[in-house]
Amino acid sequence: MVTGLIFNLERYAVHDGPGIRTLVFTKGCPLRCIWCSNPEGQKACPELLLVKERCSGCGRCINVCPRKAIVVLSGLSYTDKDLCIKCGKCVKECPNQARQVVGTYVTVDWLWSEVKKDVPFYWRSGGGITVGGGEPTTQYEFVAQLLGKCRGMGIHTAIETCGYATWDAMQEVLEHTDLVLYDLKVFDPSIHEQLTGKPNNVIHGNLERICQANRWDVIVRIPIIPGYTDSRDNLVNLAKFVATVNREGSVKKIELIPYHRLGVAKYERLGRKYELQEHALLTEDEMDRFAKLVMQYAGVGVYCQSLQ
Amino acid sequence: MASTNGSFSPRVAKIRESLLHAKPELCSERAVAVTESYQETEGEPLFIRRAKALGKVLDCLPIYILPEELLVGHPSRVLRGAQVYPEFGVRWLEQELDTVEQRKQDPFVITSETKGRLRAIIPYWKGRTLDEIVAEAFNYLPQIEAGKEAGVFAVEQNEKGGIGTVLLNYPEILTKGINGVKREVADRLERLDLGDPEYFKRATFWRGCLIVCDKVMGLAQRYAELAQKLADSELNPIRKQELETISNICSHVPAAPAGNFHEALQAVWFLHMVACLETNGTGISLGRMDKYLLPFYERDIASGHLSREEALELVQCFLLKLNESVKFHDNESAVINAGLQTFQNITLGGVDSNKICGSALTSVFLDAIRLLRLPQCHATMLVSPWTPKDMLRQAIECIIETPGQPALMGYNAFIQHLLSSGVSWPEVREFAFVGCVTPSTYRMWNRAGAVYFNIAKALELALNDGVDPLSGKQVGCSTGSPTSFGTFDRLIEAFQEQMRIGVRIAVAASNIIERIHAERVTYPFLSLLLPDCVEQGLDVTHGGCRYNFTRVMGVGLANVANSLAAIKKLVYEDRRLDMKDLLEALQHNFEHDFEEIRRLLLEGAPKFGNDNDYVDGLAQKVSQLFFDEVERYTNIRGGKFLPAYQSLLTNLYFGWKTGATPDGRLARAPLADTISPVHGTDVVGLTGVTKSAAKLDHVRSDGTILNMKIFPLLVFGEEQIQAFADFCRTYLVDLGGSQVQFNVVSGEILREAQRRPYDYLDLMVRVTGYSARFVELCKEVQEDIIGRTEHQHW
Repeated sequence: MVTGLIFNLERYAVHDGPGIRTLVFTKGCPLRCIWCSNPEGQKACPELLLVKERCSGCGRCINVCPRKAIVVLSGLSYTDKDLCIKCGKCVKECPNQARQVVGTYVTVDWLWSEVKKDVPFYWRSGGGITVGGGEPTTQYEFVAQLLGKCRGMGIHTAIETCGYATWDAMQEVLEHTDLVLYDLKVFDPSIHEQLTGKPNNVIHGNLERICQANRWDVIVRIPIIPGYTDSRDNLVNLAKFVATVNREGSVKKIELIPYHRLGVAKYERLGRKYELQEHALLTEDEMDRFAKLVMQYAGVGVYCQSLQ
Repeated sequence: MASTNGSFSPRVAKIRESLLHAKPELCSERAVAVTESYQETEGEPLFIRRAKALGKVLDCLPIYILPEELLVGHPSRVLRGAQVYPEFGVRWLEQELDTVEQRKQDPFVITSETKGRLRAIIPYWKGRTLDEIVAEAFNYLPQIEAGKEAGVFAVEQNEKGGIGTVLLNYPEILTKGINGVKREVADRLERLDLGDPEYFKRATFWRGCLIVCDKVMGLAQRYAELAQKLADSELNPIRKQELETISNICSHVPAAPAGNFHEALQAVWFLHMVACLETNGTGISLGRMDKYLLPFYERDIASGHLSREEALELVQCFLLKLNESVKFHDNESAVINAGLQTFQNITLGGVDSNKICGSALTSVFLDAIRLLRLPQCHATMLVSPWTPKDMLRQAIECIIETPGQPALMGYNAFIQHLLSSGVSWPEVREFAFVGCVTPSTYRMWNRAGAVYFNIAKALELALNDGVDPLSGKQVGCSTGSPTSFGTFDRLIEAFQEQMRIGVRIAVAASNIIERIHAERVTYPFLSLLLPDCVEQGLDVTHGGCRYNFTRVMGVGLANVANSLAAIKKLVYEDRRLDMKDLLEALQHNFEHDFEEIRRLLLEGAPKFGNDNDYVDGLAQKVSQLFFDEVERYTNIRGGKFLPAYQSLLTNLYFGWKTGATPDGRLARAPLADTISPVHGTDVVGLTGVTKSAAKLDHVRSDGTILNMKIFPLLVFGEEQIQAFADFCRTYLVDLGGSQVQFNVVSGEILREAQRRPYDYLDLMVRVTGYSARFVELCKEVQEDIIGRTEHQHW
């Protein structure tokens, strides 16, 4: 049985596809968007994280660490990432749950047993399963099996993808998918590469092929990151691009996702730096203006996701 | 905060504003009138005395009409005044009279005159009150005091300040008028067989009813005259016209049948106010107002005498009236019943023949409730397989905005429950709720607030050989030391035995209270509005109704389920923990060296509320044992004891009296409320909680509350609202859940409200089974609410 690496499983998700859904977060993503709010979903391996506010500096982790990778300095424990083998012993020992491992290997069967618990809610609300992450196509074999299992049981399936994948991998997953939530971020290839670490030609190409096939419902999602993705040029170009590829009408709507800061603390816990400059949250009016702009060129409905 | 919301009429806004700023005040008119009447009627038959006492109260009630009012009648001389009911108890009043202004929970204003008048009547009542006579009776059974003291159960919250939990047949008076009912009673009295062995009882009962009829009509008449007087001197022609209308209405109803919508609402308010003045009742229910007011509404709309807007304003005026009643509790009960609650239930969206749910009035009521954002009424909305999408959606919008009202009720679960309790189908079809969640009919008196039972205490006693660890007293039976149990099943047996003895003592206490109640404090007016009582000539406390239940409410279910799961898994299955060490850790409240054990208990075993079969199965088991123990017994009216899950705030009270529990809960910390998960342990989200909850038997339970707190974010946006409506429908229709209610607030807002209470006067919160103004709750209760798992989601 194929196993997959996930970092979260959320029931009663109502923002990622229709109805009430169970959201599976796969771990591992080819992109490194500087605004990413799920940085723990980027690396394709389990990671150790430290919740500083909880650490009492008691030093019990030092004693159990087989690699002597931990030190306590001024009341706070630190882990040498190069020495750490992620054995998880310190996590078990920590009395305050300050040390945690993010990322668990699970089987399709186990995930199915979780997903099926909410079947009555899916049926009532037209919901189902959404696999996001991370990037689900990085574990295409596992995700395909999971979605196949769900769809075989009559459950609506969706993926949330950044689009950066080989067509083969994408196709394998899409085979069992009803709805594709497809992220577009920056239209200019070089700026895209600068902000996400990868150019966007593959992403655009895949969206075009998906739209051409006309087999899937597609919702395009654009994160509105002030100073990065919110320029008039960028939004107009993305909208025009959607209009061009959407000849068959696969793209049902565009969702604009407002910038938020909820992921900032996660960077610190992972021992990483949050590169994005802090910015005030977007107002409803600002979001409305972006929506109107995109709507003008995209030829499909544009919606704003709720603001925090 | 939007305490000045422009979306209602200036009239409604003005009344609402004065209500929001009125401080609860203690009043003495009722207490003085009752005392005088009792002194005058010494030696007369009980039913007559009670009727005369109520009559005197109504005669002495100060009357006044405020400049904006369309509906008139005030239960006391100030807005938000609380009357005192000395016949129930004065001991605590005597002790607390000087501290009532400063107490933490629900302080009251009291003038020195009021204080003086109340002090003056106390000597008369010494030894004559229900409270004292019950206490005296309890002396015959020392186990009762011991059980109460240790927090095994609580029995007399309501008795100290009156009872209620009854659905009164207001619609009958709307069609017959009090005069119509009076004629029927007089007729029965005349036809009463002299050979009837209960001739005297029946005759005095009916005579009492006749006295009450006249007095109620007399009160309305006084208001008619006052309105006319005010009209005569009123210069504003519009108001003059209004006052003349009011005068006409009051001279007409409730004596005669109501002729239009306005009259019907005024009549219901008069009846309801009198019912409250008679009983100090918690949970006197208004029933299905969207059903019985509909004929009046439709007729007026059709004839052009009323517009929807006018109807909305009248309904809002009515709901504002409900917020005038304030209940005065003793200090201890005030914490359990925090927030001056009166639980005046209105049931919306009931199902009629042809599977039609609710009516055009349902949406009027929902709009009124949504706009007013006040703690009363206690709105409940039935969700059935036939509930239209729009109606449920409107209810959800109301829940989000109020926030928290109405509570949503599962039609199927209650129908099945009533049928299996022996209620016949014609009655079942007409059912409505009383209090928070108790299903009732016009032919039923369900003593719904009778017994609260601390299930966690039963487990604690099982783990301590019947000794209460906090006091060191032997409270339960001896079931042996747990170290000698050897198997998990043996522990369950011990737990069951402790529960059996605990419930048995609580039942005895409850029956003593009921007996003394029937002998000392009867209710001529309540009985008048219950068709079976009138027919039989029997007071409601004497079993006049066809269906007679008494409820025992279980508290702490989730703590026990979690505790048993931890013991089963860690002690008996995985053997990671020794029973001896566990007991020692509990004894030491997990302090010092025992923190480790607490961690193991918290993290090493599954918790209820996460859709986990292992622990949910144990919750089912515990629940079934509790039901088995309760259902064995019969009350003095010949009705069954019924189990239910509704804790109000006894989860705090019992929590204070319960030591550390094996789920990792510290000594004296709150217990889980109703069937809700332990705070902070339900980590998989809304669907997980409801799936766990739905595994319990909702048909056997006489009402099962599920409290959930959600953030507005989760129901922000069209699709999210629809998903939420579908979620509720899944729980209540597909999974057979009986009730769910929501706190739609953020912890941040609550903290802010703690800091600046005056800016948040209109902030309403649901506290285990009802809504209250958040700023009126005491700090501990506020903390409890904030602590409830916040289903944050992003």
